[in-house]
Amino acid sequence: MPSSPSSPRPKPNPSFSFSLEATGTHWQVELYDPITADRTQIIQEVITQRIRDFEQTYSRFRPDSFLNQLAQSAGEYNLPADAAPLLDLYRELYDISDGLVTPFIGQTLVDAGYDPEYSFQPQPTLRQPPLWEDTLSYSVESSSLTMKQPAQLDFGGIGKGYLVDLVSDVLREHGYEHYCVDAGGDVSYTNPSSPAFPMTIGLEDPDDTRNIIGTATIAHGALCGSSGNRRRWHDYHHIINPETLTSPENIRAIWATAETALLADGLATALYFVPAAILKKQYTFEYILVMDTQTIEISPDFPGQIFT
Amino acid sequence: MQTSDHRKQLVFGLAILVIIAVIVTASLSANSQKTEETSPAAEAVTSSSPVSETTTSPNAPASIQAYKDGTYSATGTYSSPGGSESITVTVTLTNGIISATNSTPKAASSDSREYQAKFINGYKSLIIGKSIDAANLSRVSGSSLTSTGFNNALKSIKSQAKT
Repeated sequence: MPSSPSSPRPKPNPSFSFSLEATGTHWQVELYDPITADRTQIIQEVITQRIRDFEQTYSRFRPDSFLNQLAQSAGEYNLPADAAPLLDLYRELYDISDGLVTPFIGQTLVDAGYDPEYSFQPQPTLRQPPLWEDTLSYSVESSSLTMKQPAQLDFGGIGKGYLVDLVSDVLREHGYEHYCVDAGGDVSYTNPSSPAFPMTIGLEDPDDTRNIIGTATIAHGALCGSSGNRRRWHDYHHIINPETLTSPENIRAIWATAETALLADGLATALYFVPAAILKKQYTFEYILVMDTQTIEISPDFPGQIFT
Repeated sequence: MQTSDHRKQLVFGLAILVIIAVIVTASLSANSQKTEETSPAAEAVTSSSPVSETTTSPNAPASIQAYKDGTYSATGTYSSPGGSESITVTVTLTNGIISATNSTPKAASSDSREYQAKFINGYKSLIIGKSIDAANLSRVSGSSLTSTGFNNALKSIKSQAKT
């Protein structure tokens, strides 16, 4: 084993783990609390069901999802019980980014070729997303969501992080205290009482996915990563700027750590469009940006290191 | 991105220069009726009128001595990445020479400290990438691993592009 400036700390051994394919990526759930064999089956079923329910509501890739109903008709709908925190953060980031972070980017992505069939054949021109105020309003008090016009939503920028938190909630509700939920590299590690076992996570080199360029060490919290390296086709990757209708190429990779995966995922998306200094005025988080100019920007208290 | 701090300083400095120019223009135009040689570029003046004045000879030539002594202040606004900010510049002219200046930035937010991130430049030559296998980590974060369906679709369009 090569020596490194800071070797990973001892990893806790999971008492139970399972994986599944969901939300277009590979999920891994690890529990470290003691667990009996019969309970492993229960928790796996409950978590799998929670994930499938979420996809049935919010996935653009399920033909009969709630999300796709909103793309068909205007009108008033029941607000899903878990929708508010997701919509609230989207609204905040939409405002801070002057609309560059938007849940209405779905049609643009489809026009670019990122459709449910993965055709990856871009239209000659892409449609810009509509303005929020022309499109959607919602009320927790009246449990309603109103589409002023049909629109193709896409929650890809924040939805996975939110689902990671919801899965963590399921584990907590079932009495577990020490666990890790990893959705393809968007990670939430819950470990409030044993600081001796932080989770060390490698930071993947955006240009060579066999390597890592550093590590993050999370005692209790979330780390989300974003990069345009995997999901790319023609001139696009999974993030499209609604104004320029191009994918940002000046930032090669982003990591954000925050208390929740919802926030970490949302900020990892927002950092493509909003300077960190502005986001720092409103949110508590740390981050790394890998720029295409060979510069890495790292917040002073980022819990980790780049190997230099 | 690191340009925002630099740009903020530039904009700040520029704003001060503009405000001083406005104040000097204002003091020029205050004299324009008296002396025909003065031809101030009397643009829109945003400064306040002089706080205190001393009289000068109405027939003084258009030279620097024609500027009315006094204390002038002006407030300018500029936009920074952090939002709209304003500064007030106070200038005292004595015998046409600026004898004192004072500028008071009014930060739009209560936390007006400059945010400083750390930068590693030229990282590719500096970073010793470690292979994931050798690093013995159970967890890696980057872009989300893509599903088989996605990967197959990508392969398919790439092979189409080749024909």
